[in-house]
Amino acid sequence: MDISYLLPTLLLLPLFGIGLIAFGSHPRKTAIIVSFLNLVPGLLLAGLVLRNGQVLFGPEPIPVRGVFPFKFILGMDGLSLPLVGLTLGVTLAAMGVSRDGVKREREYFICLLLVGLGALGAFLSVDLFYFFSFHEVALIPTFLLLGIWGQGDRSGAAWRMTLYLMFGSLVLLVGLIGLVLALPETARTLDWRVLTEALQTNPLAGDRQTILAALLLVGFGTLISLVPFHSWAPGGYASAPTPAAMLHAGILKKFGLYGLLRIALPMVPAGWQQIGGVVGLLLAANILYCGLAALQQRDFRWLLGFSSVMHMGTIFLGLISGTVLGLGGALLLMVGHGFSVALGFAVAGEIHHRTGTTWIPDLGGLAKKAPKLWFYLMIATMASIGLPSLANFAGEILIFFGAWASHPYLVVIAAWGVVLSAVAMLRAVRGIAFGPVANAVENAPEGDITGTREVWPFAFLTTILFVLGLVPVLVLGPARPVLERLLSR
Amino acid sequence: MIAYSPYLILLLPLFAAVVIRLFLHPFPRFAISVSTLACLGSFIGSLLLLFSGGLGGTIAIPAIPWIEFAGLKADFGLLMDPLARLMATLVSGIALLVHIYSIGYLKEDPHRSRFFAELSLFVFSMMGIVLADNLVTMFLFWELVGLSSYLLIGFWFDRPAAGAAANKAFLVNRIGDFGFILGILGVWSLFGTISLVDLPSSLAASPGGWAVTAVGLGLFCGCLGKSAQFPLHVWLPDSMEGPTPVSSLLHAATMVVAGVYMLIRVLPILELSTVTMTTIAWVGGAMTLLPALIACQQNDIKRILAYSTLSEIAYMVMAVGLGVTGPAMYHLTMHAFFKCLLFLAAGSVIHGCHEVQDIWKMGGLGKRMPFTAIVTGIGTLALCGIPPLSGFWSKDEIFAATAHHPALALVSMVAGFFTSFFMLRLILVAFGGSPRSEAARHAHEGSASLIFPMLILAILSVAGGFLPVNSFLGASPEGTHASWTLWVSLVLALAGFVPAFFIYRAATRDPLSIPILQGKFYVDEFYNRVLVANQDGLGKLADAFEGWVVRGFLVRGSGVVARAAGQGLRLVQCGQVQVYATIFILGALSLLWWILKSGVR
Amino acid sequence: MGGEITLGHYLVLSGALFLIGLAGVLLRRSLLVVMMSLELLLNAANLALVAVGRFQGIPDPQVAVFFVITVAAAEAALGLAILVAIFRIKKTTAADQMASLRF
Repeated sequence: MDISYLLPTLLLLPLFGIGLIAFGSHPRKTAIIVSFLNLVPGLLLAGLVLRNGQVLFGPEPIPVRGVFPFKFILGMDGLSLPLVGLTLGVTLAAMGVSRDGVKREREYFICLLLVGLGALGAFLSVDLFYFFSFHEVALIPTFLLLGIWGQGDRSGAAWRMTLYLMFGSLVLLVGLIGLVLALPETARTLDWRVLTEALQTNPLAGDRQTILAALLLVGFGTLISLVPFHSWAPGGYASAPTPAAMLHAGILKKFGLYGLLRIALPMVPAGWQQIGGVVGLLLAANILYCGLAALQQRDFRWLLGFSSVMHMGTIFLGLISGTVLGLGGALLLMVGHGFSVALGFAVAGEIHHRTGTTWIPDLGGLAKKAPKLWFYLMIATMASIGLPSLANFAGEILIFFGAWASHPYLVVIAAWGVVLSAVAMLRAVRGIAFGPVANAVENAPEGDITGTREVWPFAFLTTILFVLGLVPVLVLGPARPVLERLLSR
Repeated sequence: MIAYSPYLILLLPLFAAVVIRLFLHPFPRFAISVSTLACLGSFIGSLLLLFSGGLGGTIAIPAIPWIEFAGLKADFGLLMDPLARLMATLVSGIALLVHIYSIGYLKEDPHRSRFFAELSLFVFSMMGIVLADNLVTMFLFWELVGLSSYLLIGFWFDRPAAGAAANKAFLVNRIGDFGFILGILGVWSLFGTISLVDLPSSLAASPGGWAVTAVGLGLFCGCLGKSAQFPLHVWLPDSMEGPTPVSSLLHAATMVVAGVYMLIRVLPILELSTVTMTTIAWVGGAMTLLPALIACQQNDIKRILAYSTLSEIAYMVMAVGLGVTGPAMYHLTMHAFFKCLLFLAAGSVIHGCHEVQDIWKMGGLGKRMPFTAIVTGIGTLALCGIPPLSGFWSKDEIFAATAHHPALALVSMVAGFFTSFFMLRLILVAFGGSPRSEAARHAHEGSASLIFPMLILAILSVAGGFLPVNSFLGASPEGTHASWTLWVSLVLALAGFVPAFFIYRAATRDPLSIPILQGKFYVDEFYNRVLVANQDGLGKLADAFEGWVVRGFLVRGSGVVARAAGQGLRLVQCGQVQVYATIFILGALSLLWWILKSGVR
Repeated sequence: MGGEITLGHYLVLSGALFLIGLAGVLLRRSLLVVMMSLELLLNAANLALVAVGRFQGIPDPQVAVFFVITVAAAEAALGLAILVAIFRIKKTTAADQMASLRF
């Protein structure tokens, strides 16, 4: 039985939800239900990918117009499966921690659903045009979410974030066009499957590869906040509304990494090696520089932002390791980081909702006042500092093992980064949770998170982190053949 | 399925921790029962395993797959060799006693469900380290132990000192783990395996040279952190902020010796490099003496014991460095008995005196808490290595191994002298004389749940030397004895009692005052000034750079440039339609002119 | 005199008309006159087109002229309507008074 139509269903359900909200159904409930229902095709598709290796929808080219036939082909294999899973999971949790009664409620939830929809589309698209466009689709609501519903310096943060990301997208677009134009006129295609194969059988000339790799690095690098294109991230996340921060840091940022893994690495391998030194330098800077900067943050959300930027360095290390082990680790860490950072921002959002601040010196004694919230704060912290049995640990270990042979010094730096991140996060936890109960915490009108209604998103994310940490083969198994194909030149 | 049953000794405590966390938080009675029963089950299972499969044999158990990916294979397997079975029995046994003790000790605490959940988590992780069959899963449990230690030290989270100590413990351990994981990576790249089973056979292909030394030292780094050896020893005294049962179980008897256990596991790798072995021996040797000196000037009863722990673990580390694992493991076992006993006794004192920990505020406790006084005496004699108590047998073996290293022998035996000194000081000041505070005047013995574990441990401390521990270690120490070490060490240990007796017999305040010892050789201060300040300074620099240069100059700078360009260009917009039209016409004309000029062929 | 009226004559006339119209558009203040000058511009172009069509013997330019006439009519109608609206607000039709779009 062909059930590949489940692929567009993944995209249509949120769209349907957006329609419902626009026509007046209860925004938050609709968003949650739609996100939850979307798990069903997601799980079915996961089963299909586990069995067949991949699922495709719309193999017949549907030319739109012009020189290039844009084809609306959706596909899912072992590489996109974990990311689609990440998107579905984090979207559901983000809707779960959102609240009723925000201003312009309809638009708010439509924007949130759009972000998830854009990410899903990007991860599923086989055609570069849609791959790129879906990501842009997600950027616009992100801007609105920041600018309209943000906190603090929201308009500054929104503009900074948007301009950075637009700049990155632009460079990326140039790079992608360059990739396509590099082929002879008759062979040009936007289908990355065909493109990869063509570029792997007939590699481009060396310096051309270098230029394209550099463009893709800057483009994707900006999207994943690689130093020195990172400064949009911490401030942006600090002022974004909680679900938006979860969606962006958790999912949308992974688009850049996914693109690197899917496009940049296999298509211009030689160029990638050419600029390997620079990449190494940048990712070391990511880890050390942002790790050190994280030490100095006094606002918990800024801290989460910096620590999230820092982890991008570790993932990058896996990407340039050139081994299946390292790539697998990077993929696992991408997913683990997505869930853990979402949990982190969710907890930060709850703290902010209750006490009105995430300024660490003003907090204290949360463990006493809100033990459940403290528990999830610990889980998020432990995940982000790579504690075993959570997904991030397995990913980090694999990356270290995979990159050890080729980049031992970077592994040392990354391992030291783990120490730095532990210092930063635990200091924050000490400030927030330990010690005597601070005024802000004492006077909080609501105490702990209580009842299934409030707790389930946290429990959901935690469960996933544990499952992936204990059974990493869920991610690694289906991804392995894909990764091996990526590396075979 | 039955083949997997040994996993129960590992999983029962985990099950308890999860169940308590999820369901039993509001019901402390059930939580305590579940946790204690799980520990009991674990202990019984360990005992059964200890005596099955022969003394020298390894029990084969199928592994549970975890990661098997692109050449890296790390499964949750159990390595059931005699060493592991002995250690597992020891860990679960001591843990069981501490569970029982904690029931009484924390009777009043509103958060005792959480305490027992965390305790169960610890037992699970510690059993994991003991039974792990490869370095990666060992590292995994290693970190989990660090987490449970963090949680338990910070158990009283409203005390600022507890939070600070918990953080310090975790972070210092993290620095050790940094070396450990690099060491593991090194093992993998040098020998191509991380399995502890395959390791000995893969060593034949050792390349030798500095790489092996570096790997050995990396692994030793892990031990430095977990077992609190110099220079990463600073966390252990602070960790005494946790509840006393925790200090007893984690920070004396089991967790801190995990480092030694790990060294014994990877000894074949360490032995490849003499530099590594010498370093280990000397770090151990030096660390027998330094904490013993510091302990002579400490006033907190638990901290004195903590420094003594540092010193005793150093004996084990030194033994490993000398290549004799049998005595190291033997001492580890004996130390678990008497040091756990001493801590539980200290807990009993603290419990009896209502949270007073300063020995100078005690006094006269011998009359009010006779049982505690007696077991403390037994523990002290065992600790000081007085025959025929347990500590004597194990220390004697270690001293015997130093026979050919006179310098090490001298240092470690002098440490024995000071150990006797500060232990007698503790006893005289706390238990002798007359009460020096209201709390001490009303001190009383605790309930049966406090007494019972101490009784068992006292018996073990006395008779531990006669347990057939060595038969599990495969070592036959008889015959290697050089008699001079026995006599010299014994004389020094006894001699330590003499000055202590005369100085502290009737002291009401400390007649000695040695600032450098009170200041613990100022290592903490050094770290705070140099290392922490450095990282923080770099952090401040990075943050300032981020704020001023990146966010301020580059980002805002490009914004300013764009805005300035806009300001300049908007002057052109005068709003007059006819001016626009004129510009348009002029543009069209110039275009026309250009086309015509170039178009004429 | 005698002599044919050639295509050149028509084109010169058309050019002259165009220049007059251009000058009117660029220089006159009254928007009404500006619009009349615009008509002049369009008709100059029309004249050139018709003449070329006639002399070359092809119908295409004349078709274009019909389009131009239609567009010119629409433009005049729309432009005058806007003009009336502006006059109602501003009480003037002077072009230099209408600079509300300046910086």
